[in-house]
Amino acid sequence: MRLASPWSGLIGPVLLLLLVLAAILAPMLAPGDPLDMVARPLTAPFTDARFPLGTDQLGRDVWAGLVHGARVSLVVGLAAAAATLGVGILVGTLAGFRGGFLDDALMRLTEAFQTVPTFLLALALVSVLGASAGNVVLAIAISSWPPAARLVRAEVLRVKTLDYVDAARIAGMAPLAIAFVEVLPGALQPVIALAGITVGEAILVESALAFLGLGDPNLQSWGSMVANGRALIRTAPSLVVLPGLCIAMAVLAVSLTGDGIARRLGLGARS
Amino acid sequence: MLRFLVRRLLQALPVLLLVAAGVFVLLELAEGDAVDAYLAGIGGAGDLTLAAELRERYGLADSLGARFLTYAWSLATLDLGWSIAFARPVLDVILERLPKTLLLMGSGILLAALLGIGLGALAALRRGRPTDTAVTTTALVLNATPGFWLGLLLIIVFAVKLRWLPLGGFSTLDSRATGIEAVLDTARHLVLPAATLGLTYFALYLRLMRGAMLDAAQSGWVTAARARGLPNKRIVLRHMARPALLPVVTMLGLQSGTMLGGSVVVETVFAIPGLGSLAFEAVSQRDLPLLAGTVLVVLVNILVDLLYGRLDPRVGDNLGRAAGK
Amino acid sequence: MAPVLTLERLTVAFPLPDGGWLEAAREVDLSLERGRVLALIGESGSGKTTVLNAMAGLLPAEARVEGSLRLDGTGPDLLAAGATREGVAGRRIGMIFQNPGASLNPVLRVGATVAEIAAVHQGLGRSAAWRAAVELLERVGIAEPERRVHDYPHRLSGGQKQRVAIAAALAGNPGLILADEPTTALDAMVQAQILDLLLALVDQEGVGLVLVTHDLAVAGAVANEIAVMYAGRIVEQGPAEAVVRHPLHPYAVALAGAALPFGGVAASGDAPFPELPPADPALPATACAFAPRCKLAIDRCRSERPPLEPRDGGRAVACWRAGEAVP
Repeated sequence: MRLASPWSGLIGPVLLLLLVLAAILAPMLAPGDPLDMVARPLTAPFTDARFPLGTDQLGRDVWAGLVHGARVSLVVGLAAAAATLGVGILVGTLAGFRGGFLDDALMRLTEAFQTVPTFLLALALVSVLGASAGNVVLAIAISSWPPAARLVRAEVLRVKTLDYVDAARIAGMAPLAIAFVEVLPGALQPVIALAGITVGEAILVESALAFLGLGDPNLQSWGSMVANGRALIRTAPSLVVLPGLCIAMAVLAVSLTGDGIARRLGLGARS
Repeated sequence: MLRFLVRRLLQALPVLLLVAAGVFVLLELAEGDAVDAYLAGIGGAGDLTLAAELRERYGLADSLGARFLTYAWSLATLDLGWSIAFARPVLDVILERLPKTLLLMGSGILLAALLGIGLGALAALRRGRPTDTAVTTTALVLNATPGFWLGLLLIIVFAVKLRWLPLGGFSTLDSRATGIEAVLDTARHLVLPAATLGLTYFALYLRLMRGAMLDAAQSGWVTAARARGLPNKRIVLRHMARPALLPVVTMLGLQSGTMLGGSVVVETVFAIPGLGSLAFEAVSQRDLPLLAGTVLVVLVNILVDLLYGRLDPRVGDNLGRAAGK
Repeated sequence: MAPVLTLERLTVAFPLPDGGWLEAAREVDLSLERGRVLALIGESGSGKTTVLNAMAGLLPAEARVEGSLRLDGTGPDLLAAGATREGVAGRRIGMIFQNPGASLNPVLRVGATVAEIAAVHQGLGRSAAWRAAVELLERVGIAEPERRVHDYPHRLSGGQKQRVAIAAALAGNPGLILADEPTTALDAMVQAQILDLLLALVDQEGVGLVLVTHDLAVAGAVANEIAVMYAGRIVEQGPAEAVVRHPLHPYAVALAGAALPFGGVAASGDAPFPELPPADPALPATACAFAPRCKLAIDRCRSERPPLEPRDGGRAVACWRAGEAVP
């Protein structure tokens, strides 16, 4: 899907740029630990110039939480997406290139992982492994790689029949080298189209885990901010509204940007 | 046909075994077992004698292989056993919660499908016009919205500010309503959670429906229908929408797993005691029999999906496309 | 009796991305009596399908259409601005397409496809329309029509599908049937059967049939009259036998020969957007479009387009060197 007007292609990248800037400049925009209590609890937004977006029930600065939360969301989202695609590419390339028993075994494994609801698996993994940023990344990667593996496998199957791959084989290149040096780059294009969605999904899963209390307790994440604000939706709805808005914005920004890049490369789906 | 089904079942078997074994491994990786979690829960964490006795009783002191066999046997014989965390038969706990989740997911999928089909058809008929842009943009934004947040927003607006609908739960707690009143009471409780699921998941159906409608509009049979002088309304309904429904309906059956994941969050937000939150509790309580029970429910769901998917070759294609978008 | 079809000075142009217009059909005149067959022949991009679609009302909205089209000599001009096709499409003009599989809705039983048209055009109720569908399928030579009505299109062979499509075209009792390469997608034997069926319908029901084809042999076998199109214009027209045996235009001569002297005939004319052979930029717009490919071309051909002029025997040809032997 695509927004119709000509400047709409800029919405994603501009939003993403703002978020990246917030994440990079977080220590300057809001110095100190966002988990520290800095003011009177439940300062309303737009009432105190030092805390423009107010404070939560523990007196933590909401603005600081949001800009530092951008770091968590983007870093965890990107790392998890990179790991997801990495596993998917590895499995897909091996399965597609080697074929035979290895292909069968890997595809059964892929199906097994794909049939378990992604979020349930991530949830189980984090609750078993313990809530830390690294485990969240790991859990997202382990639960989300199957679509990437299937996509890469299909592409590898297509590319490996092309002439230049035969040429490499005749030239005596080692099979694994052919797989990853000759075949894989040709099969990667559709993965680019998948990347934006994968990052967006990863951000959503991270925020949902944090919302359920399975985020890294030492980091201020948008999802855990929503969870904290939940008890106060009657009196201070902004504690829920603002961080959630940030999550939706981040997901929209990465998927629009990914879609735009895919479209530029001529991979996009029809409008 | 029967032989075909049996063959598909056998092909699905390795996948099911892998999933079942994976769950067991996951639980073995975890620190602490159900007894630790149970004792911590009742404040008797240091009582080693009680712990040893409980382990003995629930077979947790057995060797790894023996425990796996017990687990696999209970899955295979559908003997769900005793939940340590709930101190009740697993079957009872599951049967108590399953209908709620089924009702929630059913109404969520129904809403997502109706929204996706209706708006997808509308967007296709108004392709490139403001209606199309508005509809597709809305779906795009809602698809990027976390379900738990959307649920809370709906609570803020419709339960807190407007007071039209209840904050959460599955029915009014102290209500002694029966018959039609009880049904209405449950329906009122279902509106917001079902809307949350439906709104976050309808983008997929919208995309499928819009694309299929556009394909159908370009098809030879629609040109032929115009040449044969059929009224436009008939052409849209019978010759565009009807064929376009096929991929959407096929996808409906395959979305239940994804929605089960989504329902964990939605059940938490709306305090609905359903299967999603049960799975969460089973994992955090290390309650292996309970988890095996919920896994069994998921496996049945998977099996249906696999059979369904294998029966119709187009399903696999659509799944790939949906995942790739 | 007035001719069932009177098409005068039809010109169709499609907008180009650069803002210009592509004229796919120019000043085409056609006329057809009931009970007779007119074949429109030419290679892919000659404009024959465009002419057919203009008559069937299937041109895209952005196409520019000039000329007039009347049925049975009376009634409104169907090409006039604001003219409606209601009561015309399916009821007075039936259409048959090249790909019978694509022209049938895959999720409807073939009986439902036919019955729907009968219901809409004849005002029949459900069961009456279904009976009409069975009769129609029988009329187009489908064996066991009571059973076949319940089949989905994918269960039928290509020939059977085309028979169903013909039944669908007949369901509104039209006086004129337009057929766009109706046998191109079929096996040779099935082709002959379908052509026989069409001829039988023309004879028995007295409908007029316009048959678009790239195959001069097919045209010669079934048509009473032939119009040969090249680059959007009719270049030769006349009784079928005469045109096949003694073509006058060098292009018709080439078509009648075993092979064209320039790479052969393109397979079909069903491209959604007609493609003309590349225009010679050195050639003025007033030249004969066939000149670059013509072995008889002289200087006059490259500067002045020959008009379509009547000849003996009810024939007409547009060529300065018509009838001369082609080397």
